[in-house]
Amino acid sequence: MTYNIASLKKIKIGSVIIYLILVAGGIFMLMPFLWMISSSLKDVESIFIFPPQWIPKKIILSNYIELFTSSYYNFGLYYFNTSLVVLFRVTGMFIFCSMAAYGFARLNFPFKNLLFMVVLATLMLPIQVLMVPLYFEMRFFKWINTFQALFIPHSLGAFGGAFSIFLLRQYFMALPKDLEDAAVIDGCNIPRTFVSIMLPQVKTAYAALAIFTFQGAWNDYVWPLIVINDPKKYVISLGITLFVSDRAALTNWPLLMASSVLGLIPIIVIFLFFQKYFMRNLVMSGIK
Amino acid sequence: MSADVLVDNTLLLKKRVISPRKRMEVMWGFIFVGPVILGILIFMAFPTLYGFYISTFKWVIIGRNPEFLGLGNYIRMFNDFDFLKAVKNTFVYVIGILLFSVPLSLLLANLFNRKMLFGELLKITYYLPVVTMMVGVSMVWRWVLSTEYGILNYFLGIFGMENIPWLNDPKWSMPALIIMSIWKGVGFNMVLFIAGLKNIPSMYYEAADIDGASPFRKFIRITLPLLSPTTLFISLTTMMNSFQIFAQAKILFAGGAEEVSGTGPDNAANTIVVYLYNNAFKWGNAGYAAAQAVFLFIILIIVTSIQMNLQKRWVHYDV
Repeated sequence: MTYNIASLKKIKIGSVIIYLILVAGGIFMLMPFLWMISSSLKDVESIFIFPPQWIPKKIILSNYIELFTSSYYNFGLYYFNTSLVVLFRVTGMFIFCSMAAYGFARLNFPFKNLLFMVVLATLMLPIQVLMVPLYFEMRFFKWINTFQALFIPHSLGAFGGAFSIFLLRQYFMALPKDLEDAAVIDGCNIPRTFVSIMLPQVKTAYAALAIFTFQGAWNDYVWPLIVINDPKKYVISLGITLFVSDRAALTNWPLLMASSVLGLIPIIVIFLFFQKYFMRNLVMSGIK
Repeated sequence: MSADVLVDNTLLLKKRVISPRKRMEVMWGFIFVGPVILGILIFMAFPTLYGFYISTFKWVIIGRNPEFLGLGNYIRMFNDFDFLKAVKNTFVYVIGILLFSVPLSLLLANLFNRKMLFGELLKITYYLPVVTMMVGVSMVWRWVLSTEYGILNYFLGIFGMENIPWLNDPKWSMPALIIMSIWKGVGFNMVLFIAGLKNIPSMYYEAADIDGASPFRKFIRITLPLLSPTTLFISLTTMMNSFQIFAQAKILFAGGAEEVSGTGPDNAANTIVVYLYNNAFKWGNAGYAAAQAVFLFIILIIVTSIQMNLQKRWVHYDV
């Protein structure tokens, strides 16, 4: 009896210690974000006050105003460009990746498995390896500094879009065959069956994939870096790096932090609202 | 346009084929997967082959007349001290991430794998950096790692440590990159490990409890062996991603005094991708950069084939 109580106490103390460790770690994870927000609300002088003030004595918003109104940075425009890219990539994924997924999952045609292997193989080929040839190709297409370069490849399953195809295919394969048989008896042709019977069945997958695609498009840096060099066409990630090439602005930490807030906060807000979908995506990606 | 041609063909075929439904299926199959196959051929398959081709030329990025070099770029690569240093840096980074990030995420997953107050909320804080933009957080970390005013040195100072010149001393460049990347990525692997842990049947632990096994013993004897497929998968994907390190190194060390020749103090943060990017887009040596990309591609293929081989062997290991 006493032995049991003793061991129970031991477990209790153990879990309290574990909890404290995890909380300390959690604070460490949040620290850079809090530090970023706090710094973005300071002016150039008070940022160097030591010890650091977590809540600035004088909260100013002029850094944000400058990012939207100065002639050198135009974050309103970058937001607009990025939103368009996100919208088109998500729409393109809906159309082309789901078509391909359905084709691979439910239709029979020659070389199907071979073609699917090709699609899967692209997941192992990062864009970093293809930077140089892709740049030449885009120049040949006259796609440098164009909007279509930012979304057409991704919509067509390149640069990681194959993941959506792979995932949707799993969902389509899990649907019962009776659904299609019933449609055939009713005289539905294949595209009709796909659009009005099969697509509505995989709605849950779309919610997760839309968020996944949104995240990838919003955070994308390497591809815009290759195809865009005109500041009028910049997306938000390139807008933030404007500071890197400008030595004078580089030391203006409050302004720099404000630009980072603009880049990070939208995705963080979306994550907090839909965090279940984010986690589900991740776990699904591990199953392959 | 091609769809119309196909429709015509199948209409002709329909007259003499027994199962028109089958024919339709083949036609629609190609129409459905066609756009994606075309996209992959244009934007991935062709550039892969074209990259090999470019790598055999002295090819200036804005020039018109490339000069054939054969394996010249590859020979140059292995005699280029800066490139060899970039390879070394990349390997140091990969090993650092494997040694610290993977065990840390496994540990966190184990600590989280229990009922606790606000457990989900805590988990979210660890996952938050994963969803954010690499460019943005790299900028933030430039400020966090600032020698005199950075918040990290301030905290270390509370524990009596001297200011560490994270971004200015070659010795500290790789540790800085690794610490930031662990912060950015540990939540990702942690969630995968938690999913792996959930798949281990609880009866094993119950049996061990009856035998009076300690938590540490249970971890070594039950968790680790049954989790090995997950651990393998995570280690190899982490490795693949780490070899491609680019944005962190490029942004964390951008604008330094040695910007012209490389990245980081004394080139200490130059990685393969950063170096090949600089070669192609800063200095214009596209052919040479393509050869470096081929080198990285070969490394990635080796890692992938290891993964596939090991996974095959692990099939029988499933619970």
